[in-house]
Amino acid sequence: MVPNAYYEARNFDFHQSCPREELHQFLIGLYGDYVIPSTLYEVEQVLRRPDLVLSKPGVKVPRYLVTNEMKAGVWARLRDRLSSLDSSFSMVEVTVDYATHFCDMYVDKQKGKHLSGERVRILLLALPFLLRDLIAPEVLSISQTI
Amino acid sequence: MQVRFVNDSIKAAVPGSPLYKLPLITDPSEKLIEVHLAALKWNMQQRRFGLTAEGVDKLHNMSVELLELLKENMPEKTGEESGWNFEKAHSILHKVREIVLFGWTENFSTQVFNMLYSMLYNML
Repeated sequence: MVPNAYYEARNFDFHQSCPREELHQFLIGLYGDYVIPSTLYEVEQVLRRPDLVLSKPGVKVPRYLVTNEMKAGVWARLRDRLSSLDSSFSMVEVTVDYATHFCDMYVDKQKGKHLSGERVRILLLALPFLLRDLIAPEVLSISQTI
Repeated sequence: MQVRFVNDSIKAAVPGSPLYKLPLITDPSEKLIEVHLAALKWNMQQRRFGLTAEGVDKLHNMSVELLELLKENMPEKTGEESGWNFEKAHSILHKVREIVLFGWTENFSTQVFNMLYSMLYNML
């Protein structure tokens, strides 16, 4: 390593000094690995709040008010919204395969499933506009908007 | 819709039901969207070419805001105790320093090399 003033800095840490690049720091590293899973987690925590059960306390397998089918319906709705994105209308395109891959990776947490940085970028562009009205109606009736 | 179903079930619960008088649930989408939009804006700002002093100052404020939003709107992350106290989350605060030292973020992007690596890998 060629010494220079930079390397002479007190407590210099070569790796810490390296720039973090967008792909692994942010797109995959923070957004893909943490923000998206946390989003799904927040929604699940609301729907599966521990006291929202129909069974009596102490049973081995609690019967949740929001069933697995209802929960799956939420993510199927998100998957369908994703797969309906088409470049002619949304400027980004998400294929049915990609939307299914999203669900496999984030909802079903299948091991060995990954997304490239560019694929995560598509999610970054699209997800903020797909989460509204997912589990609660945005507008209850047309008359309320008038 | 699930939120309405849950809240209607709680409201209709009679004494003796496990749901009787439970607090209603609220849709978390507003606060989740707030985080996603902050992430999108941060990403767009840090990719800008030729950021001025005002630009990097704005980026730093956006980094702080994004990290605060992550802590505030997604406090449990995915259930881990450490929350958002880890290197990758914290590293967004260093982006301005990296731009000052190394210039435009595309200068240290690994996008091309990552793609070449994938091509090489697929050839094996």
